Amino acid sequence: MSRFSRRSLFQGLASVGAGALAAKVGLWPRTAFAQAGGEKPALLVVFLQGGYNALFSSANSFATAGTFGVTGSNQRDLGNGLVVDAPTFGTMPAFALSHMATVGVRHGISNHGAAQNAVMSDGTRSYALRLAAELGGDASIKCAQVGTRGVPGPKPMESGVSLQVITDMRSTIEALGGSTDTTRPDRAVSEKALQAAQLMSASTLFTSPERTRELGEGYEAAIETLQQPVKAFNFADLATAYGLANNATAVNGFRAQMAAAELMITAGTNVVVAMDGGWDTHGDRTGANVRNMMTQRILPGLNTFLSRMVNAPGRNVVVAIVGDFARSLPGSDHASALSATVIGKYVKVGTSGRMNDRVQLAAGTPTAPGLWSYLGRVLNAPSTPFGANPHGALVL
Amino acid sequence: MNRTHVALSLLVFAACEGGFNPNDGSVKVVDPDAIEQDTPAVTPNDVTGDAPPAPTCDTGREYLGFGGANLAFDRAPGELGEESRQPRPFTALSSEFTRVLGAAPAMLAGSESTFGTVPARWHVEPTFSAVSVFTTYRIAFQGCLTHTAQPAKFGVMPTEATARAECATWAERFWLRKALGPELDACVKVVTQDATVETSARRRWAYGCAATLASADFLTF
Repeated sequence: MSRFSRRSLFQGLASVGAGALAAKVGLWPRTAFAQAGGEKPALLVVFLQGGYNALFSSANSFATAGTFGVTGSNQRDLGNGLVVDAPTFGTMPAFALSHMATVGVRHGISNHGAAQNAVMSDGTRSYALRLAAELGGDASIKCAQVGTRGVPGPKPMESGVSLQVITDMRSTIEALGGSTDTTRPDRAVSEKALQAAQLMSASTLFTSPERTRELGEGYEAAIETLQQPVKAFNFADLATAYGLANNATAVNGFRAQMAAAELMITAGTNVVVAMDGGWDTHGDRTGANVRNMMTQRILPGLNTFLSRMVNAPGRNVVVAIVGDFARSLPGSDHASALSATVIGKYVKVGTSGRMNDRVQLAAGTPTAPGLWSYLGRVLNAPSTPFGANPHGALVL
Repeated sequence: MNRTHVALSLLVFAACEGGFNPNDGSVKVVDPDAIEQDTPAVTPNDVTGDAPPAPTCDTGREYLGFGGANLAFDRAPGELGEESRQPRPFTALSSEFTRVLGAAPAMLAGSESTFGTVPARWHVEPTFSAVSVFTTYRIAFQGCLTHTAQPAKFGVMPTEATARAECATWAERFWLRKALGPELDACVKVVTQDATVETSARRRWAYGCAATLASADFLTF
């Protein structure tokens, strides 16, 4: 028989402290932050799981030898040293092309798990959650994963901010208050009812703190969502813009992920992460495979998002395209550094991540905290939780 | 008193009672003074030093793998009962709604993607989020409206006594254990205080039913 004794409960309380225990079981009090600046900042991270070939973000690295299918005619020079792949990135909206930078991440890791963790965390804390907490605001969901593919790395709550998974837009719109169902429960009573459910859950959340962590965080964010003013959204508008069927509310493809990212950012979310798999492209010597995936799967939704969100008035939406690492030569295997793409209003065209012709970054190129510090800077975050921005030349 | 303090008070309440069994909700009340008085005389050696470990059953075999490596070398020690709960997958939730309410709420059918659709022949560790917690509550409320629609007892506005009795019944049916006092209090408060804006007695009852269904003992196993 499972028996939780008075001693073990007290030991638990004493060892983690009341605040940490509250975090452990998802019972943080609601946290309010000051918002920096007049524009609402938000970050969309597109994580290409498996690898992000530098042919997209550093095309001229491969032109001389003609590797990865780069030729003199399929590059596009955006200026200030930044050259991208013309058939793919060259189709992005003009504003994006004039506000794009390649940022080097020399993490020195060439295995998938460790590289993914290094890009998204310091090993114990999530960069995305730290930035989401730093950006503040009063949204109930400050950090979201759109789609079922999980964000790499540890994701402990940061100052009451947890990662919330969005897998269906209809139910998300309903939670935000957009339901027109006449039998729906009263919103204020529902908030109290969920508070009661959270209280009734306390013993279970306490006895299985790790396995029920997301449930505990879910109660907290759901209650906060019900405390917020109702936000009405029209899924039909999103569906039309992103080329989705009117009843296709599940977030089960990249177009839907981009639509969900717009939904969440419009609702006030600070950081959204969209994971996409299938980028471990061994043997893709000409780059044809990754160009096809970029053209057919990523760009239709991403270009819609870029054209609707990045230059939207009153917002400062930044898009970062990252992956585990770049692909090495000649067989498109694992490199040990990454040339990330960043697009945003305050991004100055240029590069700190130009690969050499052996897919290596220059010595002294910063690691992942440098990228996140830069993202915080172009988002106008109120402070720099990741240290000084080492990519100052790429800021407008 | 904020939510955190209330919840922690609940935990401390459970902690102070001696032994709390999360499986059946039973609490063994222990009076520390009585223990002290009943303790037989001990020798000085027994008083000093660490207390002897509590008796326990065999906590698991160890196995040797290739090369004689102990496969259990990194097994984390833990309390019995700790980390024993995990979120129910959507398929299990669906059948549980049917078990406890007698019929599946209509909203269930179109809600799978909210919980993360699992590809065929794959297992994805189920998790919850703000949206899936809220959606579970919405499904529960719909099911509870049906549950409270016919019986005459739900046509009468709840009182403290009738709410307490019904909340206890719900907890035992939904969670397969008895509710603790503070858990009952939380359910009773929803029905008798929080939902008073509702003029329909059946809807007031439904809120308490839905809150009980939306709690962790129903959403995990």
